[in-house]
Amino acid sequence: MKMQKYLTIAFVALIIITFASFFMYSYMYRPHRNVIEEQTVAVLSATELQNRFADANGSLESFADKIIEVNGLISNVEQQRTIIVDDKVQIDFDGSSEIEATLIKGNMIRVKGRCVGYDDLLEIVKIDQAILINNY
Amino acid sequence: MKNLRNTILLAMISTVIGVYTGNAQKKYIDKNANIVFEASEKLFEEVKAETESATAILDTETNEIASLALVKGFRFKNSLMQEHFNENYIESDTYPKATFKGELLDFDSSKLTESPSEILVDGTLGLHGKEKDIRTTLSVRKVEDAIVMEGAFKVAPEDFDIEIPKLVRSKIAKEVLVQINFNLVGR
Repeated sequence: MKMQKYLTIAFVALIIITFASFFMYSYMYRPHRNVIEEQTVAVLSATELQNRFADANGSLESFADKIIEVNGLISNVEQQRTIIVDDKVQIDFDGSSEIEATLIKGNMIRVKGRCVGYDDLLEIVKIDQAILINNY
Repeated sequence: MKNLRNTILLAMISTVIGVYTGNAQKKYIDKNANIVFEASEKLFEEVKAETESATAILDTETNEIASLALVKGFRFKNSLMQEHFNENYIESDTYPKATFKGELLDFDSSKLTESPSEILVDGTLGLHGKEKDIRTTLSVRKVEDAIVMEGAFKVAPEDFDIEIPKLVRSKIAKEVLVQINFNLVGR
């Protein structure tokens, strides 16, 4: 009888430990942010975005690390997966997307991505993990 | 009349000089500069992050080099580690940038070849609102029209007033190895 009691306690403990470690694991190794699924915080033009950062440092917190949508003209196609929009915003596309061939200087473009912050050496805003929404 | 001729001559000369110096490439820029830092301890989870969107600018006339990395642009394998790094250690909302300003010593860009030469660089690393002098050697070489720079140096978190809690101290190396890889293109 006593034996059975111990077994029940051990069994319950085992279940608790299993669940706890499962939750611990999923907390510690949860996936990175998913730009596609996340809601866009703001939609604005490249010039507008750059002005916000360049003018007042106060707006720095409002967009840094947020998911935003930006539109404008491609002013330069850099190497790899990088384009410059209106000489104001640098877009680094997500590594998994294959789109570079269709990006041409002068195209109107709209992308969704994570705003990284303001680069005051080049005076441009940087966006990474971007995905293409429109390109024409 | 003579005055007019002189003016025209002067205008022509200055145009020629202007065009000439304008064509000489002075600035080399990398908009996708690669920076990796690692503070892993053996047997523990890898503490390593990488950015491929830092900026580096080299002025070959003054030999000045400037680099800027947005801290939020660093990617860790583990997203929770990345979050802790940003929020608790480097406080990237308050200090969004990591900067380096320095000078290449005894450097002459016109003498660069495809085989790398060791160049001493002297400068200041700014991070977490603090600054520290850095002196290190870079391996510099020419690849077609670009200047490629590679190097590594070590810094300690306490140099920048970054406190590592006791609980995780054994899992994070005392010295952080920073590796840079710049591919600077003439503009």
